[in-house]
Amino acid sequence: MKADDVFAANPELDIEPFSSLVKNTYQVYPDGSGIRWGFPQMPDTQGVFLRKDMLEDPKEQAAFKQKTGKDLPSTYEVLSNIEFDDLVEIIEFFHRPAKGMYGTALMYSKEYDFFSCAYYPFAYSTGGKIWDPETNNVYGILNSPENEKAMEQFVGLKKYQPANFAAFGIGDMIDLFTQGKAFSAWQWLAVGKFMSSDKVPADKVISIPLPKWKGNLIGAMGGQPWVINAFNDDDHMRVAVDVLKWWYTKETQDKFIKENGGLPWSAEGAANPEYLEVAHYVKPFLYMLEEGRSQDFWHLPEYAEMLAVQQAAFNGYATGQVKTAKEALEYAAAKQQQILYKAGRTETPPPDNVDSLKI
Amino acid sequence: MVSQTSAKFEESLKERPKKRPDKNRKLSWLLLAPVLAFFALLNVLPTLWMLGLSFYDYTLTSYKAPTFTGLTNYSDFVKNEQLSASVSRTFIFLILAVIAQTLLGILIGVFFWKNDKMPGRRLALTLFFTPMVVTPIATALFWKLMLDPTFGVVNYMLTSLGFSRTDFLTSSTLAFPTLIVVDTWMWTPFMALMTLAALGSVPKAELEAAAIDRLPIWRQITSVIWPHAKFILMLGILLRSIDAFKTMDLTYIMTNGGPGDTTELIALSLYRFAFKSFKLGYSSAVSVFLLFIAIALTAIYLYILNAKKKAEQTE
Repeated sequence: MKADDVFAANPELDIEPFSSLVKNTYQVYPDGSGIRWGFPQMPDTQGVFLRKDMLEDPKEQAAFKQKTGKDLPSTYEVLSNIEFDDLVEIIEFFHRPAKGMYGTALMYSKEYDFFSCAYYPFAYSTGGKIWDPETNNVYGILNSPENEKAMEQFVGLKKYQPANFAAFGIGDMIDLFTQGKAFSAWQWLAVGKFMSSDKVPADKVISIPLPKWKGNLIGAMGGQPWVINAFNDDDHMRVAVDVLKWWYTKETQDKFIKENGGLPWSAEGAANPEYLEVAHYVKPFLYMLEEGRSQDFWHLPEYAEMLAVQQAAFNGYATGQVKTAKEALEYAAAKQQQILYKAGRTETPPPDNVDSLKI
Repeated sequence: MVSQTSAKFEESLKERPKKRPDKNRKLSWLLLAPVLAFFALLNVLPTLWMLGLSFYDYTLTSYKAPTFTGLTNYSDFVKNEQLSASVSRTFIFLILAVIAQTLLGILIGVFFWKNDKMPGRRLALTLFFTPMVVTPIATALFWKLMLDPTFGVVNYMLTSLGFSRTDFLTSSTLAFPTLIVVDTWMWTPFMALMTLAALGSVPKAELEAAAIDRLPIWRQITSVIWPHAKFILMLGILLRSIDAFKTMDLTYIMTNGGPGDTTELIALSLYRFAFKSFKLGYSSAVSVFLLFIAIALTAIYLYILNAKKKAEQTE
């Protein structure tokens, strides 16, 4: 059901979002049409979780200074503007596999969108694009030298991770980090509450936005909206709207954000100092939710099919089945172009060899 | 007079088989009707529906109505080398897994058959058959946990013995063999059970006669045991083959077809087409292909059963 119709009858549900990212990611379809179908529920952005206790350890700080000649940053102010290369230097410093401590963990799993979303910031932030939303063309855009280099860099971080890094998804990263086996984890900030445990308490963890690539940073959007089924009868429709009214009350949002790890996404919520202080992951979340700081991809019904194709190819590259990033990107781009061409979304056909491509 | 009576009696004999089967036939059909209706509703109709859909371009996420495209789905399926690779991989999985399970199953079955007075035999058999009765999803989950390089017990033991950590499920060279090993762990008991049943079907008298005649062991196997045991054993192999061809749960949970597509079997591909991409026309065409494979395997199974029947009739 169109959210715009619900807003017309219930203006109190039409809440001003923190940035246009909320509206464009969770509400509007087709892209650019301005027609809203969704109601913001739990927006999500990406960040890096770090072991604060290790960063603050004077012995570690001295050893780092001795090794690199640099100070080991430990405050949010410094770390939230860190460059990728500098972060990798810190990760490398804390990578001690012989002691059961890995430098970092990222998502490379073939499952759902794990690999893709973890990889996209590497591509977006270094000038890569994954498709042209105007023409719905993928081939020639996804398989670009920029994306190839970004993927090599992304997969190159495997040397600081456990052997089964290519199976990592959200849950595996939580396990690894909260069991004290990883110094850092590139993770969705909405699971921030679960990135601590008895072994690694919350006060020993700090989260920061993703690092910058020569000053540039564009992350991927996560999270999901509420939607209302247009086939509801009147009673169910009324209840659905009532649930939304309940969800957006201050009491519910307070409980969600202060007690259950939720994140503020409205202009009002983001300005609430209580929310900002509730946990370390709120600040980086809002930073990544700023205009242009993150972006979503493919608001198309062919989403699942396109995603499955590239997840297999990209994961194949991470595990060595596909020899080069170029081959993985070429395969994914050609197959996605074919999917969109067959669905009638683009007039540009895929390359002639598309059916003979294998990973 | 006698000849007339005899003639009437013969006529009545001729009539009887005609009347009685008529009554029986009606009763048979009446008794079969619910099952047939059930079968038609839940099996025949969906199969025909699927067959029909396979000639259409029909995607649930598309705004387009189903359009008749003839054999396009089939030609797309044949042209798609990625999918052909998935089919080949499935056959390799089937052949390797069933061979391993059969050989191990025979060895274990013979061991239990020969040692029928072994103390604790019943308990050992019960424990041995456990993997077969655990649901494949549970099997896949606990094997996945056991093989985890960071937290898994298998790697813990390997490192304790001085070996390096091994990445079983995300290594493009080890993942496929690992799946075969887990499938073999799960289904070897089934083949052992079939072997025990097969050996149990060999008449004791023949075995005793062979022993009295001091037949060499290979003659006992080829001339006494094999002629009786082969039907049940072949049935076991065929049932396992059909089952292995449909394997999905194990790969879905343990590797999700990865790394890359190194463990992507055809049933998992089909699942993705149907329930992730919602391409109902295309997935129907793939299903029809799978159906023909299953029919071919079933035909072999029926052929063997008929051969058994004929052999028994000849005896």
